[in-house]
Amino acid sequence: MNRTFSKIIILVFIISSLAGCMPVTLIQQSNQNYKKSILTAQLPVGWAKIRNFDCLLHMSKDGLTLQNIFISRINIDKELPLTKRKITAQMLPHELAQLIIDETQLNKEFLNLTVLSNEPYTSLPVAAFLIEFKYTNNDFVPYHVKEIGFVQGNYYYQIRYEACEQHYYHDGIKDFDEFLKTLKVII
Amino acid sequence: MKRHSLFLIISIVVVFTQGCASTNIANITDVQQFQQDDDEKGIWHQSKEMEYELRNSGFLYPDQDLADYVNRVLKRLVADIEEKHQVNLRAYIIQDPYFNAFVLPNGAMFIHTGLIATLENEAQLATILGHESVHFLNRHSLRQQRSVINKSAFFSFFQMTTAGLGDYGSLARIYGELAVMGTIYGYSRDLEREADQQGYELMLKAGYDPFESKKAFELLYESIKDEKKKIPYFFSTHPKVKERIVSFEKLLANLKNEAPPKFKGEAEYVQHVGRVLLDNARLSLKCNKLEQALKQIERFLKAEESSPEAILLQGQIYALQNKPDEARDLFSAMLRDYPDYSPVYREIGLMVYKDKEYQESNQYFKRYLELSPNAEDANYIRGYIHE
Repeated sequence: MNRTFSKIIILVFIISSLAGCMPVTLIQQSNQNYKKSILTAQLPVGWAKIRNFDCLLHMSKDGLTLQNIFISRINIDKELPLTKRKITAQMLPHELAQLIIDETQLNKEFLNLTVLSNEPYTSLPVAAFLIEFKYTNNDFVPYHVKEIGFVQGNYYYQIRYEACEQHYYHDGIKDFDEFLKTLKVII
Repeated sequence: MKRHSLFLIISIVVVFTQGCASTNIANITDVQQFQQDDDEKGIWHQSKEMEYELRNSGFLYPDQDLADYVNRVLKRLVADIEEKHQVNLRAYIIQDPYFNAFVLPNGAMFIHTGLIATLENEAQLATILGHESVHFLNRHSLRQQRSVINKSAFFSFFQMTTAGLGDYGSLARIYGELAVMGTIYGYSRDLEREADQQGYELMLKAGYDPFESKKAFELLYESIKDEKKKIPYFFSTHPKVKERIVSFEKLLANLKNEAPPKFKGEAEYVQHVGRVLLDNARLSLKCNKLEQALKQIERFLKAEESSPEAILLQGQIYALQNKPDEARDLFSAMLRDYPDYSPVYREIGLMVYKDKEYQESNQYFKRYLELSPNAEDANYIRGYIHE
């Protein structure tokens, strides 16, 4: 009984240690090559890669509340939580962009949302969109988002740059644009 | 053992001297000069912040004429009470297709466009506004908060006697939040029935046809009865809406020998609410509530039958409902009736494009771009042209 109890305690300790900390890796020239799922890219030097199990890639430069780059993917079989609609592989890029905008607009976390632009993104070998929007959070702090989205196979892929409008957006956007230039989709 | 008994006695004394707050709260209409109780001040402060956030969230429906109209109906119900007791009720409209209306403890009332778009006349709107006004006038949020605190006194006592410690700081915070949540998700059955009855009296006094009260909830029930997803809002919940129907049935049964007022205010309502039908239909479409969207467009088209915007939306819904023939017939008729209305060329072009009839889709897309070269989606459409 005592031995089992000790094992449980050790296991709990290991799990909490793993879950509790947030490993951060500084991106340097030696580790800037990225490859995961169907994507490859050159990560921006000077940013930090953050372990985040909710997405394929999470990076920040000055801090999590200030600016982030995310790459995430969701299975298109799942209904989106607010629009209650599904992404389909047959969707044209403007339809996909509109669905993502609708989903974001219905989210009460995004206050005062304004879509600044919504255009086709033609630098990838898949049909994609590029949207840019601004919103304020619950403390009325303005944020600026640039997002690329496309469907490949059973997944919707989202590449997003999100930063505080004041100072931080402009501070990181060049790095994001450079990162996008190196982004490749392997079909 | 002796120490344990002593601790138990002290705990009981603490709970029964400090734990119970009075739920015997006077209604605003029952006192000469309304003053907030000490614990109520916190709820009002929280409500003021929430009102500020909602007003500045970008979620308010941007139609001042409609907001003024809804506030005029509200004042018709409560203006004399406001003047006599120096309180202020005000209504805001939120862009949201789900049925909901709630009043914050400080008198700020919020009504979703989904609810407004479902009601058919001013008397029905007055039913909802009257019900919510009573929640404010009878200080239901304070009652609910104190009731929750008192009910949990036993739980706190149990915690104290078993653990010897009660975390009152965090509990108070949670109760405060619960109080505000109660305004949004509904109160106890007794308080809701009280709001039904006194709200009904307000509408009768203001000269509205009382039979419309029950109809208002029947309309809501009709729209939500087939809803598979559970929406937590009070006016979107099957049993709660059904309870309102029963409640108003009982109130109407007492009217047998009286001559009730007859004012429904249908024309007034349609005049102010017309645009909400179309805008809310768009929101409903975004939330995949296609049937609801279609009903609202049909009602809109009854008042404004020559709106190409509404007919186009109707066609888009048919397309989403997998009724391509209906959609195409509608769009073809639009080409005849509104030959310069560019979006219809885009819609037909997209239908044909998906059938891989690129030569035909090119013609429609080119015409669309001729008519609207600077359309927001012009670059997408240019990309769909196959040369």
